[in-house]
Amino acid sequence: MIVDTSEVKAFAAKLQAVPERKQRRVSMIVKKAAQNVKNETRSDLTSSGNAAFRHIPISYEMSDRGSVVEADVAPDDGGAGNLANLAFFGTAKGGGTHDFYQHARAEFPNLVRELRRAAMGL
Amino acid sequence: MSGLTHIEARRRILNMVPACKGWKRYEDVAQSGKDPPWIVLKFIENQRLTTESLAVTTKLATLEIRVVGDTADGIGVICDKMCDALQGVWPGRPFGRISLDVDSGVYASELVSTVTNLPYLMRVLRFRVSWAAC
Repeated sequence: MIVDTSEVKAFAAKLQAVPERKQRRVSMIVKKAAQNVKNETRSDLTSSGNAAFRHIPISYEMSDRGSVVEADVAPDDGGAGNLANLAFFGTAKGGGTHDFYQHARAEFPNLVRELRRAAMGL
Repeated sequence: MSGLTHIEARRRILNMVPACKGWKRYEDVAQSGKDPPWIVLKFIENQRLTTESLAVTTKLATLEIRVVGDTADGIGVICDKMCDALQGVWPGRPFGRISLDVDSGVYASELVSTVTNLPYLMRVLRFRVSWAAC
């Protein structure tokens, strides 16, 4: 008896490729979220009345370790980056009117929605 | 309605902040002409949750505690005391529990000590608290 197993083999190959493909997609989603947080934070800073705050650089680093995908969004060290604490938390007397964590929080629902979409199907 | 006014909410939350001997305590802004160490407290009602018909159900506020001092250890002791007194604590009805939202970590402030010629250090803790508006 001849059994055509080509479709089963194709399905098996598809299944085998799923983790790698999904992980690539998850990495892309996390990267996009980090980029959005960076853009929002930068646009918040560029609207500052303080000229030095407008030049605070924000960047992110991606870290992909197997099942853990991380993006670390932070102001750069050195130069105007050293003013980040003053911009986000203020001086000894008050201030700290620019948001940082809030932009990440606002992005979080989008990240969850996209990850949920990525987790569905093959 | 819970009938809790902004002033009442502010008073109840600020009363929970422990006194720290040797540290001047200011509300909203530090006094000009004075030198640290000090603690600046700020209570800001900054968010409202509403129903579909825009009736306010919950009000949220941030309690900002700005600790400015000479040494990181000194600031650490005060912040530890603040967290012990506030983190997860329930102020009573109609409030929810207080939660620590943001901790800036210690960084150099713009003020320089005239005694040591070193910048004063500071740390900002932001707590969140909510209360029922109806």
